[in-house]
Amino acid sequence: MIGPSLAAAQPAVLTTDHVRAELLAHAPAGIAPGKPVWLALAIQHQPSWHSYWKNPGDSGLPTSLSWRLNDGAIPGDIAWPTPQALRAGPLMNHGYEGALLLPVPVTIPAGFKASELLVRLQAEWLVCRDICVPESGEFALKIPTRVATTAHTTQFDEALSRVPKELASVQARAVIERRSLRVDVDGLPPALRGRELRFFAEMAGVVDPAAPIEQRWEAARWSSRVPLSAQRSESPTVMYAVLVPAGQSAGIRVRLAITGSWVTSSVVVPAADAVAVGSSDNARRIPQPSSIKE
Amino acid sequence: MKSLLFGALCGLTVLMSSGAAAQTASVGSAAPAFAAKDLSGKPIALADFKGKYVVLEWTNPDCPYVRKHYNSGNMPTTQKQAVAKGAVWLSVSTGDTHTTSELQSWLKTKSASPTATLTDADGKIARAYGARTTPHMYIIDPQGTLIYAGAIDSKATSNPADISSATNYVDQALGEAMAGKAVSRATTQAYGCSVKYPSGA
Repeated sequence: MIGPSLAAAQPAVLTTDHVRAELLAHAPAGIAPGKPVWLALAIQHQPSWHSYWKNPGDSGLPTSLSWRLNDGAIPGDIAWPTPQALRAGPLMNHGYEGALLLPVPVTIPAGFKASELLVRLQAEWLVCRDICVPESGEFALKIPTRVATTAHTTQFDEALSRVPKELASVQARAVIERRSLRVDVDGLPPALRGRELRFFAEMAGVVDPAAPIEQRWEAARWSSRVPLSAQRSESPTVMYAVLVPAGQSAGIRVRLAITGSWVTSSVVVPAADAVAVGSSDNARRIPQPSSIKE
Repeated sequence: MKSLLFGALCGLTVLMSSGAAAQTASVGSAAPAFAAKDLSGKPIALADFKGKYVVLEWTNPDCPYVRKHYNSGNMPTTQKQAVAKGAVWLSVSTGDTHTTSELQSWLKTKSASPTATLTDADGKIARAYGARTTPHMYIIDPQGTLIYAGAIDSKATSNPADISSATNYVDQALGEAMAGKAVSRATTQAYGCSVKYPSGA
């Protein structure tokens, strides 16, 4: 459906009051079946503004990318870089400040014959500081197939190095307890032993993003208790999570097989104390990575 | 440095066992009591409405997701229908982003018709309910049990065009509960801007 004239009518860059967004391509071996082909939306946030990870945490919405490619080329899912923990009062969000690249792998089918890969992207992102602004943009790009496209190699390499790694050595499991998930992870790299890890659930609506987790190392095993959301909306049997050592930009992705049964809480909260209790829980939080480094 | 850090973490762990987070309101449990003032300064308490269904709605006129549901008329209509069915509707404004007169004139221009709008300047009610977003919706049954917590509807976008094809979870839960049925979606994932907790809260 899309022709060169349409593609040329759309820009590859959009600048708003809060971000500069640009559609980028990376095809170091040209565009052909079996070759690595990447597209990405680059978002440069204005200082103190942020956008969100796939699980945005207590509020916010993930950035969404909707692609149209020519000649049967197939866009994959966003390879989300490891998020940052962004605190907003007692709430916790997962997202990105500063420079962000959201890479997407593209599969070029065997019969691909076009002389150019024609890319159209409809992107929606929510950008927040103390207020939130939903933004969107349409982008287009034409990429020649027979030459290498490498102008943004550094940016793609950096972004892909921040995507959480899946390690064959890692085995993880989770057991449902009354108000938490007991998470045990074996086979993590020895260099991590003894270090504090941050836990990001990829699925929203299961754990409480702002609640501090209990964690300890038992020799090579990382063992933790991750508080469930008091208003849990999901009951998964498998959940992916990202573990990030404090102060590091790339995490490790683990697949949690969840055992035990999800039961609806029937515990009655004493109404009289409930209002009074909340006020001191900031003091109980585990320090943020930024404060740990100091 | 590392051992020092872990010492600190152990200390935190002990404190945590008394679990502040665990006492946040949850569906199936008693809804936390509260007392506050409405926009005219009149005291309002949850206990005043025992025997009635009570809907709580976290709101903030600055939030695009709130505006989605007010500018389209969806939230005022949902309010009107709930109140017509005998429910009490309490909108809650947490933090100090707006004066009471700003809130009053905004509600008027949107033809909003909550039973009352409460100010929660210190964020205590929001904390007790675990309110995270605007909007964030809760329903309390006549016995004082929380029967719904979550989103206004099923389409987590800022686009008003999505409202007509979305499931309105508040309508649905209230309708089911009032008909003596179990609430089919009792907890959903609220979406929107963050609740503006006052700094230091």
